[in-house]
Amino acid sequence: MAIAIFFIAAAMAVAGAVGVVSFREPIRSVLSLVVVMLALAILFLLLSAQFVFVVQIIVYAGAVMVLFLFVIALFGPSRELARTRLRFQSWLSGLFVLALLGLIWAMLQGVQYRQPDKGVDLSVFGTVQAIAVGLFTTYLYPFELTSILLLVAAIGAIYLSRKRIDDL
Amino acid sequence: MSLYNDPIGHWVVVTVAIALLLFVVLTATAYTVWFERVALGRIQRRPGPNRVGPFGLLQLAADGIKLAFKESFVPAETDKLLFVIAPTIAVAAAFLSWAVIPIGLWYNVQYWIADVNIGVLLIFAFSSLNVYAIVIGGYASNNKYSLLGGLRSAAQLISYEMALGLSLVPTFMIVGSLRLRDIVEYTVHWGWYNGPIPLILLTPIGFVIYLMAAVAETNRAPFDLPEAEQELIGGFLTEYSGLKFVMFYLAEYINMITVSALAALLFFGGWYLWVIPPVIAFFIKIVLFLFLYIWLRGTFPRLRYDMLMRLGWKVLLPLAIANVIVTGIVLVATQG
Amino acid sequence: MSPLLTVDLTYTWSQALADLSQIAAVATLTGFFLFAIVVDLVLPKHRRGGAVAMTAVTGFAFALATAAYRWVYGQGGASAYHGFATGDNFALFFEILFATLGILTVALSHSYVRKRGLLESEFHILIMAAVIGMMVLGSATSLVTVFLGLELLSIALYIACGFVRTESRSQEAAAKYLLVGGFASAFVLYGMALIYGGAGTTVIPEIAKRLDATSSGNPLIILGIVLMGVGFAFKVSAAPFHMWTPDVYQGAPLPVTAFMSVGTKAAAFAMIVRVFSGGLPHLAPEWQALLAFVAATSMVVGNLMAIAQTSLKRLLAYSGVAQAGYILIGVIAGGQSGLSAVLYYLFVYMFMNFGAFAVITLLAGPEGDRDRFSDLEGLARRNPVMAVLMSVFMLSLAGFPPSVGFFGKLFLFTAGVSAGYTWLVVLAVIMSVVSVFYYVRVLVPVWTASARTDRVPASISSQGVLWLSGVASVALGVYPTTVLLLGQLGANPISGP
Repeated sequence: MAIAIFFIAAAMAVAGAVGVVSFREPIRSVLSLVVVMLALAILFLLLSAQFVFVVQIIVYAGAVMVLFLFVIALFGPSRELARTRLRFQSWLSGLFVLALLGLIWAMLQGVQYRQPDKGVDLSVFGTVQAIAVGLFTTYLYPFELTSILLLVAAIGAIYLSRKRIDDL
Repeated sequence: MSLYNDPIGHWVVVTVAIALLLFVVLTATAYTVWFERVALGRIQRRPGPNRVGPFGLLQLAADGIKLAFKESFVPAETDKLLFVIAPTIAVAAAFLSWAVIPIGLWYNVQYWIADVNIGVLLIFAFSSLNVYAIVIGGYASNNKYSLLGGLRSAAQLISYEMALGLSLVPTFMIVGSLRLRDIVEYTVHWGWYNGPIPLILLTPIGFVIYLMAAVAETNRAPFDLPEAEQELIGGFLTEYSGLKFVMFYLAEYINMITVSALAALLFFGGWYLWVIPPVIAFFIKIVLFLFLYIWLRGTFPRLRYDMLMRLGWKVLLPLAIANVIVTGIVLVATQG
Repeated sequence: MSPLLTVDLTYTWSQALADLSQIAAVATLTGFFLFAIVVDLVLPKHRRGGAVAMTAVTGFAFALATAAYRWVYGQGGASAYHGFATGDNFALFFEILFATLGILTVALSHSYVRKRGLLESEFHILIMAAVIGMMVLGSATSLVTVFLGLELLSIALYIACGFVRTESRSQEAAAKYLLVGGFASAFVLYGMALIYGGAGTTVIPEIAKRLDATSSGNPLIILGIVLMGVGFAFKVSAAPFHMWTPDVYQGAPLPVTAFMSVGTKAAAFAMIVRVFSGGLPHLAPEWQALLAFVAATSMVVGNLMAIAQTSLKRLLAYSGVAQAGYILIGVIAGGQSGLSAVLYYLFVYMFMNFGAFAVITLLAGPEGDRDRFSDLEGLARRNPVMAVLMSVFMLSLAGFPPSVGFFGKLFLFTAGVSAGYTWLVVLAVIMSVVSVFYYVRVLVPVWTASARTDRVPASISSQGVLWLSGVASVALGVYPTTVLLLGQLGANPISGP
């Protein structure tokens, strides 16, 4: 059952990703990206990360992609200009893709993952409580750094989107 | 139930439960529309629908049949796929929230589909998908007014989403869990006697913010500028007719019921109501909230768009954040 | 709901203070950063710029003093915050470097920003944020913190590159940098995720312990190294991943370019040394091969492309690509000698390169930067001090003795030879000779007699920057051992004494 859901979600993600780069109308690309986000959320749920699943939908699919959608909707329906033909680049990129896939295939053959350490015992994995404990003990420093990162991004967004570009 | 634990039987039970829930929610929505039209009529001192069936109870059936037989057309120069998908997303997002809402616990029978650890967050997640339905609907209509209405409505939705979430945070802090059943159970043993006491006594400001944000989230009056006929010729709904319009309409009312159910669960004790049996008590509370919604619609004038945004960002959001901080301080002070 | 009794949630004051003292410089600078934002909010419009500039300089000076104090009196580095950060000598070296860079940038940009009519307070705030990101990157001991520092630094710089809203080239530079930088960060992150899968932890010393030589055949690790290496090479602007560098350097406002050319390079090298030399020492053959290829390509491409440039900014951009190649030799060599050479060169590179950019910045006018060769004409008569200093910088970059550039390259090349990469060093020497051509070509219009007599106005702070860079370039070359010693102390935590 879980395998079936995994394959469906993985197919959705790949289809969405291909759709992002291949659609001519930008709004369809944006919606394909939303499909990718939702597929990723399902994959998170399959890994028992419930909180990340729901936050992925709320934040990525529900806020970030809406921002993208706003911008594209304001541009109006338009089609991209005719695609320029890729000459040797398509062969080169295809070669790289094959090499990467080969490496990944080799990786799946005899890979040695590290086993999770015993001794970390929270009742259920991936719940809100587990995330909260981790966020405020082990991962405190990255958490605080992320808040500074968001502050800088907000400053930049406000600066770059001011209407009057002479003195405020 | 032993049938619940058996693998195949489990899926049979879940499927039957889902089908039953769909049927109940759809019927409830239909009768909510009837209720609204009758109540609005009474508020406005006119009879409301009273021709079709006793007390106009079959009015919505007649309306549904009419709308279903309307010609289904799609505007000429648009992306047809997007035009058709938009109402689908609206209805899907509206229905999905009902998977985690517990309706009652009656004689050890659980009246819900899934009671997950992250309960309320899932409802937020699915309601945040509503924005797509509106923006895509407005965009795909190839109509300036639709686009404007769609973008305005989306901006309104994402603004009030934050106030909505933050207004519920004190409740989660007090109860210590996001699971809806835990919150309802908490109402029984937190108070000064061993019985259900509504949690609104602990978070009154949270309830007020929640109410206003919820009305804005469901695009209801007095926050319904995006679909107002006088302003934007129906906003993002302009080009929709027939069954697609029914789906949007349905989605709006299902959202209303969802939000009322959440209010009943989080602030008013869920399915506990003196001696009245659980599921029926829950329905009574939802009906009371729905009446509150309809009352608001009949009484208040519509908010202008900039007033609306100002209310959301400059009043509700700081108030909600202050509420969280104060609750946190009180919690730490009283429990050490 | 079972209670979470198995996790220890205590965090005493002494623990908190111990952790904070490890990242003292970062914490100090962050405090000043937040204070600067508040100052910008509170003060009236005409006083904002100067006040924020003062706050920025004070913040950098405090961070510098804190790092220096901990260097001299500190008890060495311990891991803080469950292994995510540290205050060892390597981190302190880079914190001192970045704080100095911050002071130089604020001093240089003060008059430039006024001249071009840009918002001064946001500019300094963004520079502070970028320096915080760089310091975090220098003191990071976990892949998570490395990535966060990288992103903080990058995002502040994306915005700073696009600071001149009225100039389309600046916006283009910001957009290019954002897209390419985001792409590079994605590569780095993917590589980090794979390494995490192979090692089971993100803490870098732990990774070093767990991944010994037996895991060198693990395709997961190899793929992770390749992807991370590619991402790092993007950030350090090494060929063949350097495509963004000339356009971004040309489009961004000059103080930002000056800051970026030194800062991102130094921070990215700190990252490479931490993750590769510090975290994957037993897998050295893999990443050394990748870095050797990148270094060779950088030196060749950077030097050859620089010959044809007519814009000073692009010339310095390509020269930066080549310099990245030289420094990579030191990273590949590794060990005490290699890493101390890397640290020495990064420290002195700051003065050389920043000085060169400072001279070009002072030529700018209110309508834009002037970076043609013709703008340098007759500099010897217009401002003889600047002409002399420009000569010092160019000759240092080219590697003439007894400048710092010469000693830096000497240390790097000797480390490279003793590590067995003779072919790479031979290539580097040949390319250094080639580079002399275009560095000296810059000096031709400076010293040629010309009819131009317009003065080049230089504010006091800019003059101070020039003098400091010039004196440092000469003095640290005459007495190279001081900084080399500091470099050795800084390299100790990674390479072992």
